[in-house]
Amino acid sequence: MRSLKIVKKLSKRLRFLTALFVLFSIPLQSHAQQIVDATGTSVTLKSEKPSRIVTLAPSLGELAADFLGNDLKRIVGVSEYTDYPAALKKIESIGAYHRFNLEKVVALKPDLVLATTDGNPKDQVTQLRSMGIPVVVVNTQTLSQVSESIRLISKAMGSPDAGERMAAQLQKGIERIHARSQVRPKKRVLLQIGEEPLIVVGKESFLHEALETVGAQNVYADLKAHYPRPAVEDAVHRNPDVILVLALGQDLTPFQKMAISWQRFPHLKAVSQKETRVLQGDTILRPTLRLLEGLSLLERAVYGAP
Amino acid sequence: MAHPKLFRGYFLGLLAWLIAFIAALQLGAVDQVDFEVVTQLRLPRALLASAIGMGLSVAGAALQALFTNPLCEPYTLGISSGSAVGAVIGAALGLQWSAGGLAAPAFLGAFVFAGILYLISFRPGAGNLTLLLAGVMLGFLGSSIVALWMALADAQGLHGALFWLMGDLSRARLDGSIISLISAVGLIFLIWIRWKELDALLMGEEDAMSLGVSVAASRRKLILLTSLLIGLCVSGGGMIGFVGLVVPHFARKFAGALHIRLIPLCAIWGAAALTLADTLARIVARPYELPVGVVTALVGAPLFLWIMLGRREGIS
Repeated sequence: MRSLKIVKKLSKRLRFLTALFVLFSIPLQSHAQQIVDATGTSVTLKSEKPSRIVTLAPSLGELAADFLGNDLKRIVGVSEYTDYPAALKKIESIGAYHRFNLEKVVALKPDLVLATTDGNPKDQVTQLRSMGIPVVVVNTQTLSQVSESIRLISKAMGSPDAGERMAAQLQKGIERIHARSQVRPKKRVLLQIGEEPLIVVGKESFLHEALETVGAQNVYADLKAHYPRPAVEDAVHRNPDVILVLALGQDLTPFQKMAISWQRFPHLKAVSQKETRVLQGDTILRPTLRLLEGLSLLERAVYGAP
Repeated sequence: MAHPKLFRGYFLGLLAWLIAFIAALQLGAVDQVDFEVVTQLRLPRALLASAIGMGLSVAGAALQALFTNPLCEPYTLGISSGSAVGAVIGAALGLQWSAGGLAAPAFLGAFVFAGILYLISFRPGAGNLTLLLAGVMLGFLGSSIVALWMALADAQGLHGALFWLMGDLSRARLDGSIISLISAVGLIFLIWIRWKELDALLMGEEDAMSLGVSVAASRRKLILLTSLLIGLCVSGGGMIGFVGLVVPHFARKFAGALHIRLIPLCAIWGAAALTLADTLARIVARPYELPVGVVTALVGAPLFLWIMLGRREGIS
């Protein structure tokens, strides 16, 4: 009787040990991968092909969808206003990118969260990480960082080749636009993103680089901030050749009003030569392949149709 | 009645206003004086600064009499806060952050908050302290509604809203500024002709009654007029603080406490003070512009403490 009990106990222990062994060996078998993201953080991904992805910005949803093709089921959560491609609209929203709902993200049990330094709050990202959720953060402040972020995301999603291809395509497109710009005279452009107070594009902004890429000269290249707010007088004094109002969203009326309010200064070059217009900004602000579309829109807005 | 100190006050005030106005037209973000810049930007701003400066100062003087408390300011009543709530609701409904776009909802917000105070003043036994505390609470309510909107709104409109809440005159347009100035002068006149009631109220409710002034009725009328004036100022320039405190405080040193002299002096000095403050706001950080509310608060807040600590009696 007694020996039987011991055997039973032993077998119980053995079973427990076996279970422990199996548990620990799972991650070893399924190629965990280490990725260093744009913040320099080393992120451990449990699987090579994450199947529960949450994207914290519309552009990240777009990129993830690009790499997944028809396999969109792998995206389980997106940020509010993620509408491109349209199929993403049906996926559960985790709130606005600038203040997303942490609980919702955690409840979705993601095995990969894609975040950006351009809008997602750092404290929220840190909180996700402290809960053991793998967060890959990209940075898209410059054109080369956009290429880099495309590579990073594709790698995290397990399709690095697709990312290389897309980054190369983006690079080629940018070079083509830049080549065209070399043969044109440089126009001095004021790119406005808000009025009352006037908000313009400064040297640190991604849009400043976009202007230079299409061969335009930003009249506020000397101001170091991303989006400085100079006095209107100062803008009038700089007398740009072209004034572009960057429009966001579908309703252009408020932006058209901003463009029209420059008519108060008939002596401005941009006003007297009728070079004050609205630029649809949704694509140029997308750090995805659609950025090329945005750059050619900007090019056309500055130099007219080719 | 010869009153040399008073004349000196008027003379200095007019001179200061004139100098401030010329400076406002001459100085700006760029040194070059361009006709279009002066007519389209500087002149409307100087006019609006004058209108709001006189409006806030007279509103401050009137409130100080109404509540027999020199620390009363348009903001302590919470009416400006109500104005901000109206503007924020207007913005949430899709109106633009501009003087024209938000004037109506800002007025409406001021009216609603003033209406609540008006009803409170009907209550039997509603004394100065009741009204003042009610105003403070309404101010809290207003700022929490604004905070609620800021937490929920998307980042797009926030910047303009923040600037407006700090007090900013960059929205000035010539037509709007002229209308504001005329309306401000009109409302100030309507308050000024009630100088007797203001004097009586300043002496306290019991003394006022013994002088034959119907306290409740005058107070209600004056509260309404003052809130109209504040609504006008807030819709034009946002929340500009402390002008209504500082200007009456110094004007009293020249004009004394009687409102027949004090109100016009407050109007002139207020116009001069805000025009000067706005000129400073435009030139100290070129090519940027500061919200004028920042300048007035930097001067006014320490002064508020100084006046408060210098008083012998308590606040109530």
